[in-house]
Amino acid sequence: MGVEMVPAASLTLPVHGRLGTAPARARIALVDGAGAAALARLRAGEGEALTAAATRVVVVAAGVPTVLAGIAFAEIVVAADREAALVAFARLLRGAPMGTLVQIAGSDTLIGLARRVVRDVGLPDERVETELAGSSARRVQCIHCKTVTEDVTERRIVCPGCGLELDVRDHYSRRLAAYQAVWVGPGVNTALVGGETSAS
Amino acid sequence: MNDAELDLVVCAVGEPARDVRTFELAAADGSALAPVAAGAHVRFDLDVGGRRLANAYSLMPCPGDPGRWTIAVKLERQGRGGSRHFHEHVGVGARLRACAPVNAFPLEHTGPRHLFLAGGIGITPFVAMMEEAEARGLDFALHWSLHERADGPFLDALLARWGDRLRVHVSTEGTRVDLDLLLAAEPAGARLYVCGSDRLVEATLAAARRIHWPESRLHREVFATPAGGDAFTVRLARSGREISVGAEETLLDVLEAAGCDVGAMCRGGACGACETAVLACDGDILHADQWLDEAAHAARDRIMPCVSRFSGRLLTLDL
Repeated sequence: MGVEMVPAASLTLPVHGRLGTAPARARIALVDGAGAAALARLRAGEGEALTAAATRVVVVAAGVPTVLAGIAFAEIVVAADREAALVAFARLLRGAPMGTLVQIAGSDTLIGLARRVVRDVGLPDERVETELAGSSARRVQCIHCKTVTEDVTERRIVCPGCGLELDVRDHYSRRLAAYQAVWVGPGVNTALVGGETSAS
Repeated sequence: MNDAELDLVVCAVGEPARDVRTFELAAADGSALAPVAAGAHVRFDLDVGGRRLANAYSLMPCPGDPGRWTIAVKLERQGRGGSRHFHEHVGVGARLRACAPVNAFPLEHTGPRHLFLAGGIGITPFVAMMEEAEARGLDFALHWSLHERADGPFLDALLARWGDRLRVHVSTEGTRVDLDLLLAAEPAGARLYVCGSDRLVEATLAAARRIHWPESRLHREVFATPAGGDAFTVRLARSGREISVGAEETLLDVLEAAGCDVGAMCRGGACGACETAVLACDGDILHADQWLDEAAHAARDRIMPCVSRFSGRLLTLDL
């Protein structure tokens, strides 16, 4: 299959899948409140294929989500905020044995930031599964002043850093874990650039 | 071989282990040879009693002289005669023709740890690779399997240089490597590099796959030597010509002789440079490369002419 058969925009967007039961010696999962259901579904639907005893979980939530309560994971870390969760996630990854499968379920932003942690630790993408649950709002970087704005659901925003009106592009940076936003600019045709879809 | 680009002369010959000889090589015109990255090899174009053989050897740094290369050649008594030729007919002053260096076994940049596994003469690419890993500040270790200590070239020097980073496993001393134990202890994302006998390589890869070691983190040195086979015919779609590949020839050699430049580099099925599109296949492609994956092999729409052959009525290439 040639590259030209893939819609151009999708080459620059993150692709999410579905948590599954790929064989693994150990699993490390990172989920938020919405993503917890994906992890619970595996347990319920696939039986012993997901061995909770070999799974370490980090949850971004105020407490253990109801759907995960009662599952005997090897370890479950409850982190009050995303930053703390990513730190705990990185700690688990650094101690992970070869053959570990990484599973991430939650918002688009959580997945993007977690994937960046996975890469920084040095694990390959092929051992990472993701599932989008909850918000697909974008984490956006202004390419001019580099200010990052979270929870963007509009195609047009005014950058809180430099005040420029920005077009949020379907151009995702894995390094920054952010979508790129570009000044609309005077005299530029303000119609949507051909084929690109709205963020929300 | 059409891409023999280097004219080399042997400056020194050594014997660092039983049945192993080293050859220090310089450019015949006196110029400095280009520095090469760890893991690179060159393929020599040998004339062995009227037969042409293409033997590849890993390049090692030449101590004290960056403008020269060293290769180590293990005498393979059951081989086709290339190593015997080196041992019996190549001395100081001998001239050798070789293609430019190719690196199908580079040290990768990412990964929390790099594990090197060598068997016997398979140590050669790791001599340079360990130096590069050290220079880059990577975490690495080498496990070297030998039948007997006398089989290990540079053994004392490497032990002195690398200390605990190098573990030697000797069959006759009963310290054979436990692959399952060794691999299971590696961290997620570690990279595995293996060079040695086919048996060691296959056993290592099988042990790694048993614990779900990702394919992208498995690296093997491959000097697939094009084996002969039955003669076959290939049709070149663009010119309509049909060419015959003899039992002792490779498809690549015949294509090059016919004036088709497919951009070959490693000539061993590893680098992917000579990948050629197949337009029609009335028969079976005998894939022998490491480049295309199983799905690509099954699709029968591509061939690596350096090592792969064809069995059937007619193979039509997009050339």
